[in-house]
Amino acid sequence: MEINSIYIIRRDTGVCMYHKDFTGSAFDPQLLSSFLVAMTSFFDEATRSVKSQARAFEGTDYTILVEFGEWTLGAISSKGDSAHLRDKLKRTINRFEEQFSVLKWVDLDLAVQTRFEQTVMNEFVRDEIIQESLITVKPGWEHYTKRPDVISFLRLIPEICSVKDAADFLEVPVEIALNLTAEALWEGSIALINPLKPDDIYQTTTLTRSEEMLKDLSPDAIRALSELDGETPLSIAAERLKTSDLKRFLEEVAWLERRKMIELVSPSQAVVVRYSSALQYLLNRLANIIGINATRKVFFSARDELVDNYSWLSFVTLEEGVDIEMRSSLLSSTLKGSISPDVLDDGLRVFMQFITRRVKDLIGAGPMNKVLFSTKDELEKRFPSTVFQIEWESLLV
Amino acid sequence: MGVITCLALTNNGSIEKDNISIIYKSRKDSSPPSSTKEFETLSRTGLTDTILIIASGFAVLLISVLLIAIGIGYPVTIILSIITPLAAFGIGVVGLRIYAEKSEARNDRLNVLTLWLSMGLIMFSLAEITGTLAKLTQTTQQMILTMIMIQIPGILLWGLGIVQYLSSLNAAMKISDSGRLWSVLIGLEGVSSIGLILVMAFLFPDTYLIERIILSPIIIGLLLFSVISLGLVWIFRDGLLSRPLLFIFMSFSLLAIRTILWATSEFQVNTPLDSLMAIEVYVFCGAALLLSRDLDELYG
Repeated sequence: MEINSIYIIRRDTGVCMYHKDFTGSAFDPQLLSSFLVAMTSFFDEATRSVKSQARAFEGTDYTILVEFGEWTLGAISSKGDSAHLRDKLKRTINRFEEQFSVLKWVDLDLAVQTRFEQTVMNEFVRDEIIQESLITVKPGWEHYTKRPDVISFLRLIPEICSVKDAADFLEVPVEIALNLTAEALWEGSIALINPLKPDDIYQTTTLTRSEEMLKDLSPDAIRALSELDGETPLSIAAERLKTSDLKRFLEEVAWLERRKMIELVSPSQAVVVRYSSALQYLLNRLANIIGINATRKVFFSARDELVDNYSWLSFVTLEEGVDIEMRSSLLSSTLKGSISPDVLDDGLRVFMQFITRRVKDLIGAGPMNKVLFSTKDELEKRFPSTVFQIEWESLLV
Repeated sequence: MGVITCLALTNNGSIEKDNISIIYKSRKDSSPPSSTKEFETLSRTGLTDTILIIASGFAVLLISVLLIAIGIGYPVTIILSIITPLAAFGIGVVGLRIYAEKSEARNDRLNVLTLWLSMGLIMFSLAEITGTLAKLTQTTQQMILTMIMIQIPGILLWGLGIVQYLSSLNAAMKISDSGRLWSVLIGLEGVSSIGLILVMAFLFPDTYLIERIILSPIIIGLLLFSVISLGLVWIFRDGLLSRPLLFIFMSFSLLAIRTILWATSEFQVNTPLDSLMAIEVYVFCGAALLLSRDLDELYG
């Protein structure tokens, strides 16, 4: 799971109104909520700030992220801080304040715990499940779950199968299987593993390697370590290593991940890598048609028009010719996750729209759309399952 | 107008997705603001030079026709035989000045096309001078052969430029396999040339074999390049890029007509009509060069 637990706390009293723990620990949520409210009040007093300043509390292997609503405070315990998680937390707090607005004024029993669980499930659980996710039904699952639809789902599917296999097995649409899996995971009656995809992007966490670290590794895994640079999808890394068996390569990578020698890049970085590849392919094609100079001018004029609204776009530039360069300021923000993937996705999509609309003036709509289709086809070779996360239809002119 | 002002900024400086879609709806509904602005810019900057060069071409044409009509034919022939190589040379030099200085654009096929058109013009100017000099000593057929032999490098530069641009477009749009495209073009050129040699032998038995062997591939090549450039005009018919390509097409087709007339009729080299056709070929090419430059400056 992306998060360990979530808390929604009333700011003025410090009472925890909603909590969910995904790790199964029996930690008293009221203790944590009192601590968080006390600490945030302390920081506000100490800094004499009208607006609450405290943003996160860090432990050795966890971080508690804090976001503020109008009258509530949300906290998430997770492995690290990221704008992506903060966006989710903000959305959850806003929905809570909308759904239970009456609690701001009066203290009532509105069955918050059960009525709000669907929102949290959609935001934090359902998002993580994909068709290829591998379900492992836990022994004694009957003791965890009470929902009749989940019980019938788990009774019928094999003990270990993918979500898509489960849908095929039950002859139901995949969407229903995805929802049932989310509910089963919510109740803790299954374990879920997301298999590695060829377009996942990993980065090496161990740049200096001792002999002891490498002694159990296969030669392929050692070579893979140098290719996983945070920019190259696994399929391309496998190609560079001339690996004929992609499945075996993915297993090696999964093993490296379990040993914490590599890690999946942040969602923000994945968006940047995907879009920069798309932009590069697009610009190369446009340079072939309208020339390098005109392409550069189109690029910079589109960027200049957008930079007032997306200031970070000024860090997206061109080196010699039409080679895209993402400046280190932007890259470090994406690495830290301090810029949300939604913001990046929005900005880069609009940037590509501005480029395509300008080039349409030069070459017409038909050729421009043809160039977009061929760009998408080339990108699909590199990112077979995430290429459609770019809204190609919105780029058509 | 109104595009940026209606954006709603969120706390972290991003634009809300819904607002973006609204913006694009409004951009699609009305004529795109950027297009109008850019078209206006192009009209102001580019067309002035282009209109000037085309107007000069037509002025030469009109004045020459008028002078010939009132019976001053000989001086016109002499003046045109001077203007023709000068026009090719002058426009070629202007083209080289614009396109040869971009050393970074070696992989830029549009730049390469325009650069090769300029270099071709220089070659054509040499061919025109040779034609004028050859007129003093040689027969018509010898003159045609001499001129065409000197024109070959220029025609090759023009042809390779347009074919490479087609190949580059093909690579960008993935229309067909690049190797296949080249083999189809070479095959078409070869087969059609042999066919034309045979047709000419049948229709114009007076022509020498060597003349047929030299002229046929050149005529077929020029027709092929005309078809390619017309195809490119059709592909880009909605965009500004079609304008220079249209002039390139006109240039190729007029050159093809000139060469066909040399091969098939009593049409003589360095006559006023021949010189006028040549001047118009170079003027059209110059217009294409200037319009291509303006594409670069559109968003500058």
